[in-house]
Amino acid sequence: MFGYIRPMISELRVREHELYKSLYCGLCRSMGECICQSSRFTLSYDILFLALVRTLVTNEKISVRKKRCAVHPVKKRNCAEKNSALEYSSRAAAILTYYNIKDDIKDTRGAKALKYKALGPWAKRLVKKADMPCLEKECREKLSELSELEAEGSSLDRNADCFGRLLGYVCSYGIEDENARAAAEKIGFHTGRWIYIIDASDDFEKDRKEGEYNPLSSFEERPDEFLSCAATLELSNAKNALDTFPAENRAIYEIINNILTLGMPNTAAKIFKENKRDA
Amino acid sequence: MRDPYKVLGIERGASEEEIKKAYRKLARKYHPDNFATDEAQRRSAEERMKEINEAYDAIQNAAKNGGGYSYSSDSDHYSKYTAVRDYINSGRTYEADAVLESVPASERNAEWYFLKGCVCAARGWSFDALNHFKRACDMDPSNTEYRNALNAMQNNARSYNRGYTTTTSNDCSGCDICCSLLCADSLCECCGGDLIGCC
Repeated sequence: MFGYIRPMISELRVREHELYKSLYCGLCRSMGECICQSSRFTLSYDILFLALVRTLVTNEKISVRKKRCAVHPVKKRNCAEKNSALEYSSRAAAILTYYNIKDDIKDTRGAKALKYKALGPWAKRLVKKADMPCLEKECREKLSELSELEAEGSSLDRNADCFGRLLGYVCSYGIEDENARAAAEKIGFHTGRWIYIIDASDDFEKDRKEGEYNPLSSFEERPDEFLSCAATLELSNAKNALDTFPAENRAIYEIINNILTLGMPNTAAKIFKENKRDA
Repeated sequence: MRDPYKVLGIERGASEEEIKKAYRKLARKYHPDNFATDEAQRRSAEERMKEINEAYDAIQNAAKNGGGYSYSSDSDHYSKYTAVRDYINSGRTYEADAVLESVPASERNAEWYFLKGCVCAARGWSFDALNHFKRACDMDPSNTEYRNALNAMQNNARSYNRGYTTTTSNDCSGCDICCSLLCADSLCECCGGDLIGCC
């Protein structure tokens, strides 16, 4: 369920794109420092979104410096220095990766499962390194609640709510300022709900073929019209939360705004269009 | 059909005179001629007028047959759904949902699905809300309240998506203009005329 949250690069200003790239590098580096080198492979755009939201609401300063790294050994690249938002995101990413792998182990059978099982011990180490028992406990509880709901065959929206609350919690964890916490929680919540809806829509055909669980399995045909409408309404709520927060860092605000109003609708449009072409 | 007393906005056990007065007042208000300019409004006024007439007839007939107008088991639902509406309006979605869930599946009508949709919408569960509204519309296609609720949600989503549209081929750029002029010029030259003197 990773990789849905990207900006529409062509609509970013050049300096915003530069900042986005340098945060990407910074997050990758910070994962290497806080967790372990191998965790850097799990870097995703979704985690970067978490880092962006945290940076925005905590108004964390970003200083960019040219650095060299193993992935880009020839040319030095702009890289954001580690700050508390990047550090927190790295740790949260480790925990989310662990539960993602655990989920994969549970859901897949046969030879494929071996691949994930082999990753088990490595993922367990990630959680240990992340060293955030409170966050880990909350993730565990929310995800087990979600799998209970899924086993029950509950509705898409109820499940999405559960996932949304998880992301809301992850986004707002440990923020002291009341306004900032509320804004981060709302953005996280609606983004989480959006991810769940989009993920269910994306996997609809695949899950049907393989006979696996999908919250939309009660539908004969994927109800694209309502799904895309519901997904859009989540984005609209997330954007409201973003706009009501007095953001000081305008560049970060613009990037998040781009993701919510252009990038994510674009992802959704692709998913719903693909289905039409198949039919 | 809705509770005829509620349609006319009167108390149960109202006198003959009161019923007539309420009827006349509503008939004046919703007379389709009052909405001659707006087609959509006129149609909804016509529907409302029909409902008012039916309600008035029902009460009159019942009075002729002796005693007041009475329902069978349905009256329970009317009051139940009114309570649900009150709960939704005051933001108490859990109470509203509890009342709705207590209605057995066989007795769920269009209004039930509409109210369930309202509860879902109030909780922010758009997908379930849309599906329930759709169901309500399918069961009672003439009801404008249900249709409006469905349309309002879809319009909200549409207004958000309007932010970005990719450039379409219908756009007329400067290049297109020059191209068209050159084509027109060569066509004119074929016929012996000239549109652009220099080429």
